[in-house]
Amino acid sequence: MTKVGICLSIELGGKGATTLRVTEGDCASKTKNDEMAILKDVIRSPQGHIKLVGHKFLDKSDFFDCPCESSLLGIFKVSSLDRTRSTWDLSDYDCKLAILPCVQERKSCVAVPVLHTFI
Amino acid sequence: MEKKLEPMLSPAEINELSNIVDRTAEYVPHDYNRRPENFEYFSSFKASSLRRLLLCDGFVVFSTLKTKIKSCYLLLHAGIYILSSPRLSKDPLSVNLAETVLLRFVKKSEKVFGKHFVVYNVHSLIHLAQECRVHNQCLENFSAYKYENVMGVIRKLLRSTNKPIHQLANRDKERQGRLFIPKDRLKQDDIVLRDFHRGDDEGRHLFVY
Repeated sequence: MTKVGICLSIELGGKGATTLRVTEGDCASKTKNDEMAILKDVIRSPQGHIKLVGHKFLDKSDFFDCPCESSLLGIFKVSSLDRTRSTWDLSDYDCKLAILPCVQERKSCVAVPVLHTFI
Repeated sequence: MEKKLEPMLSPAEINELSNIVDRTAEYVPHDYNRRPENFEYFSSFKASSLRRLLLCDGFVVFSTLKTKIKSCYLLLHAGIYILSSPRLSKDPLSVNLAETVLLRFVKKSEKVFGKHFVVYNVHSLIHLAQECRVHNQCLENFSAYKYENVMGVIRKLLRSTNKPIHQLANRDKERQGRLFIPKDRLKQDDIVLRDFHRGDDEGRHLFVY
């Protein structure tokens, strides 16, 4: 199918209410498969399903090991943004992420789930 | 006479923290009510700014600090993050971990910051995990945050310091139980699309599958 992106921000209501935008700060989200991605566009299929378009992070590792592994908390150090765009259904969206640049390592970022946005 | 406390951080270190805040502020989600502020204004920081530092951007901001202070922060962060998470707070193993970690924080903070640091509020961190077990909820769901959000409304409704609860009950009755009008929130499954592409930029967002 051929599809044109329709908009640049999407507001979700109910439990985990939040707004995803393509701008820095509000663009990152986690899917139910634990994949972390940056939103670039929102599209709607002819059937009316809303899909999110963006770039996924290819590498993720623990950000800290003490007092516990950060992956236990869902916090990861992410890097290598996939150059090709991916699409995922809105039903696969799990929560919003804060992606903050690492101070020590220029090419890495820290992905922290925003707690009240869990669905 | 009260003994003057030595500052934990030098002005240069505080300046470094402020530089990191300035660099990372734009990456902090707008879900947090207050935007990150320079540490120059630390004395006027609100509770929501401190909460954001604890749960979201703190470990990036404090990453350049001395190891002992940073490890104290990580202990507090990990413990509170688990208890504030709607998912992790329902997992008994995670809550046990949070309890151990917060106990370690209280013991370690006494060594790092001194005995004066461990006041009643710091001590009560030890009991938070047990509260989460009792309620089987995350901290947000049984805390006083909701009350604190309408503190301003309550203050404006009171006309004198005499019998505040009676006054509030009367105002509540006068307004048919609506002391303040809550913001219009979207309901479950409501989805609103915004910032639609205009005709001239559609070409840049063309995808073929």
